[in-house]
Amino acid sequence: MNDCVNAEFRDQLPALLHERLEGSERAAILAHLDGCLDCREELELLRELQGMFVSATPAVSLTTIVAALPAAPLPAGVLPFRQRVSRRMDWRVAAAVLVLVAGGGSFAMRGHMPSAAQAIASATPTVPTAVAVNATPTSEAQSTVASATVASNASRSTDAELSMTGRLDDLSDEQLQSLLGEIDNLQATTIAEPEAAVVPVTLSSDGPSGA
Amino acid sequence: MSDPARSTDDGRDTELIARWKSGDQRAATELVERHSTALARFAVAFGEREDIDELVQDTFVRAFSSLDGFRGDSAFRTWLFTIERRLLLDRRRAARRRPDRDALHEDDSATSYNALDGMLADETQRRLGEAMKQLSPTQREVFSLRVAQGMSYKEIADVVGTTEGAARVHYHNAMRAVKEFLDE
Repeated sequence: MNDCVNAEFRDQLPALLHERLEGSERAAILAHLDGCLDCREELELLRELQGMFVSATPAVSLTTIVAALPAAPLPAGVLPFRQRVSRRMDWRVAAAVLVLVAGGGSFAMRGHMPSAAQAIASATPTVPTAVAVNATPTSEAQSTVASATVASNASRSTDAELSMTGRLDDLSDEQLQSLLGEIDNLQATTIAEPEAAVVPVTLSSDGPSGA
Repeated sequence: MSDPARSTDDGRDTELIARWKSGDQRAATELVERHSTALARFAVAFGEREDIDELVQDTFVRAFSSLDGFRGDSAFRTWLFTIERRLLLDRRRAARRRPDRDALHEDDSATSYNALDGMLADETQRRLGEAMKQLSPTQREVFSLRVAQGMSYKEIADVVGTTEGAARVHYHNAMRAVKEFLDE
């Protein structure tokens, strides 16, 4: 088997075999092949060699290969499934903790809070007592003390206000009127704030002299 | 040498890679379909005879794991061949370290190329296989890339790590050696 003297055409034979030549190049080498036995023999040899490689190549399992590949990256802004689940679980855990804390807290507070009956028992007498103190004010100072007492009692019995409604029904109209009047009086009580002292000053030629 | 068919193929590869990078796993399947047979053929031509499935799979896994590093300077298939070749050389180095080695060596070219034995059906192909054994490893590598894959000298140079001129010389020397063997 001889080599063609035209090295350029010989060089292109594998490209012709794999159909990698453009129209004009392909036409030129095909024209050359018509008149060149050496190139035709070499092309046939190349075809046989290619056939040998093809028949010697075992089939590969595409499924196995694809299954082993790393997952395609997620588009920007999309979290991986595991991370999404994790975030959702975080939210759920937080919600569960909140419910437990709120539930446990209210249960604990219920244990410390007075029962309705205790609240009535402790709250009901407080108001009349305070009112009684305030009912006969002897001085402004006493009134202030009484006001403070009522305010204190009122704040202590705030939680039991609803419970008191039942007991207020037991009061007579006269008692209620009296209680409301006293409350009005308490609200009208002036706040004991220090007022600016006014000292009259007389100016004379000898200097200032206080009154 | 212009190659419109190859540039269309490269364009399709680029498109599939972009699709895979944006989350389309089916693009990977198509890329495997397009190149797995060529990779298996390269392994056989390189002299590999065992676990070719595994080798092709490893090549793809490594390629997809470092796809961000693929700049597109060469064709995707050329890049895959480069990866596969590196894996093949690693395999051979590992086999050489084994005490009961029966694997192929890069340096004992005359006896190493027996991958095609038993794989070739007829006498003509067996004779061609014998002719391939006469080549040096580099000649065989260049020759098979040119004949079995239809690669240009530039692409062969990229895969083998040589120059276009050297690839051309290796190819023609290999062709001459094969012809001489067959003429005997």
